Amino acid sequence: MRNNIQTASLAERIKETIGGGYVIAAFFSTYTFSRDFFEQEVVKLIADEGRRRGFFPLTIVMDRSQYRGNGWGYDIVRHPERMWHAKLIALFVENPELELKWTVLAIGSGNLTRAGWERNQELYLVHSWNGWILPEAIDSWMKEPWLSECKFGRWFHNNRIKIIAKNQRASIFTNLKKPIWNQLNSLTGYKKWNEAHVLAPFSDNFQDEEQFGGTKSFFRMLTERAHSASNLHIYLRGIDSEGKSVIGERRVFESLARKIRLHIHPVLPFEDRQLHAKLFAFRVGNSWSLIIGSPNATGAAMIFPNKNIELAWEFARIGKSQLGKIIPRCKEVQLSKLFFKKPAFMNKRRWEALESAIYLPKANRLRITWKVGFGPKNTKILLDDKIINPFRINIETTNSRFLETRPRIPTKEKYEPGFVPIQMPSGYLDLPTCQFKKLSPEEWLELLGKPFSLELPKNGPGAGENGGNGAARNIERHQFIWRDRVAKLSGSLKGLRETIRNAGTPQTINYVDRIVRGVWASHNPRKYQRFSTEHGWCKWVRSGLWQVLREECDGRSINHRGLCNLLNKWSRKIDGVLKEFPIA
Amino acid sequence: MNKTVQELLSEIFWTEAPTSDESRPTDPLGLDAMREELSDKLVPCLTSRTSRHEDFFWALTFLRWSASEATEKKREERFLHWERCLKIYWIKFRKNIKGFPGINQARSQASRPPSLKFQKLLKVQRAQGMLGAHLGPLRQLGLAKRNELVLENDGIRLVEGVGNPPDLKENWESWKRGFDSAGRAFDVNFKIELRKRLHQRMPELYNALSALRWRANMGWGQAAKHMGPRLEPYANLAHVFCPWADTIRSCFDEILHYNPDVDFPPWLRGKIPTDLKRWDPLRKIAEKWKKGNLENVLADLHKDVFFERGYSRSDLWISIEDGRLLRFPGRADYRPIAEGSDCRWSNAVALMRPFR
Repeated sequence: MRNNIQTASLAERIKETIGGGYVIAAFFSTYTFSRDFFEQEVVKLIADEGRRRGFFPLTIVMDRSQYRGNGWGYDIVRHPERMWHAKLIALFVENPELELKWTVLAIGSGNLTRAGWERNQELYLVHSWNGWILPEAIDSWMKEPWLSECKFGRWFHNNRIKIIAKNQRASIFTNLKKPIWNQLNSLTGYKKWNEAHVLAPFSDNFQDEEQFGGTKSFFRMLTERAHSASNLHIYLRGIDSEGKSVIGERRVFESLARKIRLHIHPVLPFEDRQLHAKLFAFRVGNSWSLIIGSPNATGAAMIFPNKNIELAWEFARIGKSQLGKIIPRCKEVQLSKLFFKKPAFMNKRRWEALESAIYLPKANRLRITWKVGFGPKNTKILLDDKIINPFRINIETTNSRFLETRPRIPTKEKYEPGFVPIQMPSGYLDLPTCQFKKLSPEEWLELLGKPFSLELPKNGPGAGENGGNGAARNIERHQFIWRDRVAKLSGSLKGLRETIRNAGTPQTINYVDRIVRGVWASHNPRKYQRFSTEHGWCKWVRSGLWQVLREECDGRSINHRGLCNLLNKWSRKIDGVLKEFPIA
Repeated sequence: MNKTVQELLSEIFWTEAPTSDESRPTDPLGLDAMREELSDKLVPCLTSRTSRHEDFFWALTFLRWSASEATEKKREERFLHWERCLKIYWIKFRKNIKGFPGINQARSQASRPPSLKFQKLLKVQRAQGMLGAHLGPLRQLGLAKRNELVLENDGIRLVEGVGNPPDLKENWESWKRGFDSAGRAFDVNFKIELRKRLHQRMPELYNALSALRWRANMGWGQAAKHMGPRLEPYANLAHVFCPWADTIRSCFDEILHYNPDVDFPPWLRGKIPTDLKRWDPLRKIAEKWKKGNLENVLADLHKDVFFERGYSRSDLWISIEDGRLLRFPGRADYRPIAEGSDCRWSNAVALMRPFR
C-alpha cells in the first residue's frame, strides 16, 4: 500500500517544526483522549520534557462521551451537547533569543491517543506559519462561550492572534454552524464530478467507537452530484490479511453499485496498523480537489446540520500526480467476493451524575452541580479511586483532575462509571505541588519574579560555552554564593512589586498569592540549624517578601484583601529588626 | 497563506511509529515491576543498572562538577551534559568499552566533529541514563543528599582527586586530556571505599554472599539461610520467582507470535509476603491459573497490568474479544530483556566482592 507515499512520525514532524522554540500556548482537539499517552509523550514533546507543564495555557477539547479523566497542568473542555470529532494540534511557538514567533498547525485524522499518533494509518498535514495565527474556522470555535473561558481561550483573546480567512484553493472548514458539504469550493453551484475517491475506514467495535450515522444519506448526496458513468473508488478498512473482509454495510454498497461504477479497495492492515485516515478526492472537469481531516463518509460528519463537529482542509484545483502521492494503491476486489463486517458500537450506559465540578481553592472544596435525578443519596464520588467529601478536599495533594461517579447501591441495569473534569478557577495556577513532585525553593523563587513570563531554559547546559558561567566556575563548590542569591532575590522581588502594582484583576492577585505562599513555605528557617547560612538565607527571603507586601498591598483594595491577611499573619513570624532591614 | 497549495500538499504524510521509540512498555505482565519491588527488599542500595564501580565514580564526579550551579534544574542539566561528553569520550578513546545506555546516539555523535551543544543520548536521559540509575543508590549509601542534587561530605571526599571540571573545547584532544586527567582519580581506594559502604548498609547480604563464596550464578535459595529471619522469605521467593518469571515472559512472547505449542510452567511455588503491593495482579490470577486455559489467564493479567498503568484497550498486546484471543505483535517489538532478571544478584557480587 505504501508505494510512493510519504510517511513520517507525527511526533517527530511536530518536534522538527517546533525546532529551537518554546511553546507558549497549545490547543488540541480530539475525539478520544488517552491521559497516559498525553502526559508521557505529548507533554514532554511540547513542554521541555514536562518541566514547564502547568506554566503555559494548554487546553484539550474532546468529545463529552469519551472523557475518562485528566491530570494537572492542563485543562479539558467538552462541547455541552454535540459530538466533537475534530482533530487538531495548534502550537504557538516563540524563540526569545531570535525574537521569532511562529504557529504550528496539524490537521488530520488521528486522535490524541497512542493509536492515533503511532499505531493507526492516519493522514496528517503539519504546517508552520510565521507569527501567531489561526484559521477562521478555529476562530469561530473560540467565540463559543464554553470554549472561550478555558485557559487557551483566555490566552487567545488576550493576545493578538491573526486570523486567516478562507482561500479559494486551500481552505479549512468546520461544521459548527454549516455542514462541511455546503462549504466545499470544489462542488459549489451545480458542479458535478466524474471520478471520486473516498477513503473511509468507518469503525469496528474494539478499535474505536466513532459514529457511523447516515452513511447511506452521504452516498445518496454524493451520487446526486455525479455525472452519469462516473467512477467512485471507495477504500475500506480491511480486517484480514487477504483483503476479503472489510468493515462496512453491504446493502449500502449494493445500492450504490446500481447507480454508479463502484470500485472497492480494501486497505490491508499494514504491520498491524489499522486504517483510520479520512480522505475525499473529486475530479470536476479536468481538475482535482482533495479534502483531508476528521470527517468520515457519513451524513453526521458531512451533510447534516447540528451533528458532529469536524475539521477539514480542502485543496482545490490540484494535479493528479500530486494526488497519486497521497491516495493508497490497493487492489480492487469485486463486491460479490467481499465479506462485510458491520460496525458495532459499545453503547454501555454510564452513570453520569454530575453536570460540573469547580474547585474553590480558598475554601478547599468543590462546587458540585448534580444532574436531575442524581444526588449524594444514589451516587458516590471518587477522586483517585477514593470516595471523597466534596466539601473538604485539597486538590493539590492529588495527581488527578477529574471525578468518577458510580451508583451507591447496585442497580439492575449495569452502568459504567461516569467522569467529569474538575474545572479550575480562572487565574488559578495548577502547579505540581502535589506529593508526587514538589518545587524546590529555587524554582519557587524563579516563579516569584516573573509570574507571567517564565524564564525559558536554554537549548542545553553547555550551549555556546564551556563550563557555564566563568565566574561561578571559579567559586569553590558547595560554597554558599550569597552575592548571586541576593542579586537574584532582589530581581525577583522587583518583579513581584511590579506585578502587584500592575495587577488589574483578582485573578492576578490570586496567582501572586499562590506563588508568595509557595516561596514562604519553601523557605522555612526551622528546617536548618540555627545560625547556619541557609537558616539566615531563609529569614532573608521571608523578610524581603514581607517588606514587599507591606509596601505594595493597599488595604483599601478588595483585591488585596488576601495578601493583606497574609501580611498580618506573617508579621508575627518576622523578627522586628528584619522588618526595617534594607533588603536590596 | 503565503505558501502555495503545492507546498502544502507536499507536507501531507501518512503517519508511522517514531523511529526512536524507547518509551513503549516493555513489561506487559508487570513481572519486572514485581521483581524490582522484591529486589528493593533484598538489595536496597543498588539498582538493576548499577554494576560497575566506574559508573559510580563518574556519577559522583558529575554531581560534584555540577554543584556550582544555583538551581536544581541547572545542576541536572549540567550532569546530563557531562554524561553525554563522557560517553562520547568512551566511544572515541576507549577501544574495549562495552555496551551502555545511549551507546547508539553516542556513536553517532562521536562520528561527527566535537560539539558542546547538548544533544540527548536517550529519550529521557534523566531517568534512563547515569543519573536515574545511580542517584537512588548514592542517596541510600549516604553519599548524596536526600532532597537535592548535591553530594554529602563523604561523597565529596570520595572523588576529591578529580579536580575542577575539564575545559572542553571543540577539538577531541581537549576532551581526551580532560577526562583522562579526571579518570586518574578512579583507583583501587575508591573501589575499597565503595565496597566498605555497601557492606555497612547491607550487612545481611554481604554475609550471605560471602558464605556462598561470591558465586556468580544466582543462589538466593542458599543465601536465604544466611540472610536472617527478616529477609529470608524474600530470598526464598526470589529463588523461585526469577526463573519462573523469565519462563512466563517467554511463554507470553510465544502466544503473541502465534506459536501454537506453548509449554506453561506450573504455578509459582512459595509464599508471597503480604507487604509486596505490586504483586496484587499476580495474587488475583492464582486461582484461575490452577483451573487452566492459561492463554486467557495471561491475557487477563496483561490487561489488568496495562489498565492499572493507565494504558487503554488499543495499547494491549493481546486481548480477548468475543471469546477470541486477538494478538497485536506490531505493538510489541521488544523481546524479553535479561536486565535484572536475577534480582540484582550479579550486580551485588560485582560491586561487593572483596578486592584480591
